[in-house]
Amino acid sequence: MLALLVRLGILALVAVLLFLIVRGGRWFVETRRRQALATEPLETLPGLEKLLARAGQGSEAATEKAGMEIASAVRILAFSSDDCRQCHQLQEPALRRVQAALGQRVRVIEVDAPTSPALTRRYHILTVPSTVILDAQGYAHAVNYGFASSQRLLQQVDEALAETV
Amino acid sequence: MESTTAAQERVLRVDTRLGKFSQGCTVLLTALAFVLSQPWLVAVTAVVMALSALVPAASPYRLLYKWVVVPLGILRPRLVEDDPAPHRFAQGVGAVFLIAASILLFLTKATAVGWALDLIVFVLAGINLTVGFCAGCFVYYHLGRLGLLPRVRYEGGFHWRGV
Repeated sequence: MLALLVRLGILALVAVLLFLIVRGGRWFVETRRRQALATEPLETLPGLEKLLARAGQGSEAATEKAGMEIASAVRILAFSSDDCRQCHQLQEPALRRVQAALGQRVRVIEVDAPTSPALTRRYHILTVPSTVILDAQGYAHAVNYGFASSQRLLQQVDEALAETV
Repeated sequence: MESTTAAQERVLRVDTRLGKFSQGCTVLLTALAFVLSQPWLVAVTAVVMALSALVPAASPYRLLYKWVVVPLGILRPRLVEDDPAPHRFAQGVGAVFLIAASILLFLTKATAVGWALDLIVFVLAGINLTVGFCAGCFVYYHLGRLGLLPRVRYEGGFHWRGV
């Protein structure tokens, strides 16, 4: 009987520890997310042109045009890296589905996390894949650490679009 | 784990409810085994998890889920975009821990270590059940990054590539 109680006690202790670890982890991630959401709009960042160039716009004129176009659309910054399996296997197809569903209203900008320290610091990126939804003004509307499904992204983009209209 | 085929525009899907059900059962079984001090329950859980990892179609969790839990309306399937391979790997890791625990509990005097392994599985399954963080998947992705794992790809069945 005593042994049973001791074992129950140990199990309860383990469960409490587990609870505290989970609480601590959640608090840590939420703090990061709050900081990321509170950053200034991305328009003011000088690195934007570079980003757009990386997103596939070649000439200067095209970049300018794309920049104007982009200013009125919701953008998704998709952080990934070469060796990130989940990014290529799951996140990229999900982003493609979002792009296909929303067309011109959304712009997906791929960001290579290891070579973009300014952006990863700015949005407190903890892991890849991560996605940041920017509304038309460039404010971070939502930040997803880890894989975000296409349903989730669509919902967040819809919210960001509704906010701006 | 549930998965659909390449035909559906190659979207990888996993039934999270089946995952949660499996994790819940694992948490319950490992906790019961420890509290009641029943090594055979550890062995049973080890076999169940090994089956889930090696032959998902014959997983007792899956059969119970498919033929009892879902028909009774206790849980409804919910397919989400996810890669089934890391979850399978994670169940394999759990099975290895529990097999090691069973060996220690049955054949050696180091029962404390055996129960510690049992509780590690309890904690990791508990974390996955409550917050959805899958420690085994984390290990899987990192092993993949280091190039230590053969690249396992899921396409309706397992294909070994670049071994």
